[in-house]
Amino acid sequence: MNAVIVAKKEFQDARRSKTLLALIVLFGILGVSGPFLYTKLLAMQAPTEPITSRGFVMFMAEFIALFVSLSAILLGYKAIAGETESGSGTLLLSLPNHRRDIVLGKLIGRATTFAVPLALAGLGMFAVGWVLIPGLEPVELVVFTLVTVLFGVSFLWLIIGLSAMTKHSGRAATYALGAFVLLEMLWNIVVIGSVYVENGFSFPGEAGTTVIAPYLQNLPPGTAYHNLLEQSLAMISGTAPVAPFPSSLWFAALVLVGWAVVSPLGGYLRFDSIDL
Amino acid sequence: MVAIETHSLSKEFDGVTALSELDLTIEEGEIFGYLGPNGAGKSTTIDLLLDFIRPTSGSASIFGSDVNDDSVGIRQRVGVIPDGYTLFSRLTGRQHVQFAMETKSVDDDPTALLERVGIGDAANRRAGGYSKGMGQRLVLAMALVGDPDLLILDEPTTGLDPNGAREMRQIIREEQARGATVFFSSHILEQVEAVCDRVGILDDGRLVTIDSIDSLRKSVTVDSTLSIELAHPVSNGLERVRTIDGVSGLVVDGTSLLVDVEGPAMTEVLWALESQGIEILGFSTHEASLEDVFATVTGSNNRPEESQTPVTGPDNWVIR
Repeated sequence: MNAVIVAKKEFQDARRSKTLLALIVLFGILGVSGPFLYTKLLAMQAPTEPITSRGFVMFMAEFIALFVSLSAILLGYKAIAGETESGSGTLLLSLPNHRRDIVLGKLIGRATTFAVPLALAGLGMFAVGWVLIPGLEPVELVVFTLVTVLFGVSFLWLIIGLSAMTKHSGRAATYALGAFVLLEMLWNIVVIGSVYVENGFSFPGEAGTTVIAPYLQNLPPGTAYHNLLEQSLAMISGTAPVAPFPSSLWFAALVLVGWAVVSPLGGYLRFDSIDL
Repeated sequence: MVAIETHSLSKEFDGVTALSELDLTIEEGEIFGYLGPNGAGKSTTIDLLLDFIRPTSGSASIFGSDVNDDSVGIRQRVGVIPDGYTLFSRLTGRQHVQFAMETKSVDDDPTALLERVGIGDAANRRAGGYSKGMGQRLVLAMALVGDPDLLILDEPTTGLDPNGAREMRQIIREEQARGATVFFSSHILEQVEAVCDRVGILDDGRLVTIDSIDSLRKSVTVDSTLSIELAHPVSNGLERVRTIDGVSGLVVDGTSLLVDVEGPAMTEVLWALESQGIEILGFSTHEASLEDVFATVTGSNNRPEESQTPVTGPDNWVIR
């Protein structure tokens, strides 16, 4: 499978990149400083609240999510558009590589690259948290790290899929930032719009219910990340609340996997059909 | 057996014709030179052959397989120097060649390949620090991986010094001797005529002629212009230059001398001046370029701005 060879080359190349180094430093700092911040902020803002492992993990998730999605954009927006634009894609395609191999290789290679700083953040957080957070549950940190990597890769692949839609890295940057702003900042407008439309172009009263909105509301990767983490932590401690399907663990996992599949698939279909 | 065949192959970009109704047949084992000025459609043709772009109409096949249907299978048998590539700046030369070997699933010796193209000593350096010429040699090494049946080389001598261009031609000949077919594009006549069996000349998206290099040369006689900068203006002593066999014109302008001359007579011109004590500060030649051949082949002489393309080649030195 040539995709694996492309991925290997991609990782070899990325290993020496300044971007990776910067991400390792950034996530190293985030991981190490997280436990300090959590204990200090808690002591300042809610001194009566006890320090808990769960509270710590959920704090970290809120703290790190923005950095994860922005790093995914940084790492992914030029993945394919940049190669096409600069001409290193030409070199890849002069060899017996299918365009599919290029897209798959990028997905695998960049995801592996991204997993490195995320896993390091998890380790740093564990080391410092072990000292500062009494009753820290290692299994909760492992779940946190795995779910964060899933979220990071899902967001990264969403961005790489967008990158495959265009030959210009400038445009790819616009798509990536546009997707971020829409999904993570303006999504409520979309949800409200859907309620309005579903209700026959008027807003329902207090008692009004909608079918689409709860699903739509949980579609952004950031929301799915939060839901997935919360629900899996609840599940391992045996206190899983009965969540309605749209905010359940399964729907959240489905959403993250969905973004990771649909966007690259669309990108590939486009990339496969265009003149390079 | 036919290596490359195209039928009415055409490509338009946003309504602009880049290649028009190309019919081309390249036999196995020949070295084919694909000539034309920049923008004539050479790279478009190669991009179509490699399935980087899709034809507007017509078709192309390599070793009997359609280039759209079995592009990967074709590229398994083909070595390519593409147009407008970029190296992976953080990977070493050796890693580039290894990557090509892994992609083609062949066992080859990266060191031997890099030495063959003359960059063995830079094998473990990052390609980001390579010069243009070294990059071109590296991509040649990647193209040679796995002894391909066909080499498609888009402007392979770009960035190479005269020595490098000669070595490139030597490798092209060796590859032909091994049994490979070579498809070689260039906008410089001299790069092609030294090595090709047949040439096709492309102009404005159309194939205007296709012939063996010998008959092409017979049909066209073009001179080079030798421009000489003298230390002092001269009035006499130029008669001897005029009478040299091969000199067809001479213009004096102060200390500048322009001589229309056939290649071999150039040194004679210089000797004739020096032997009479006329001090030469420097000189350069304008090789008869493809444009001149074009003018003859196509009968159009309306390219004044391009007809004196200076050629960086073995014939372009400056002495003090």
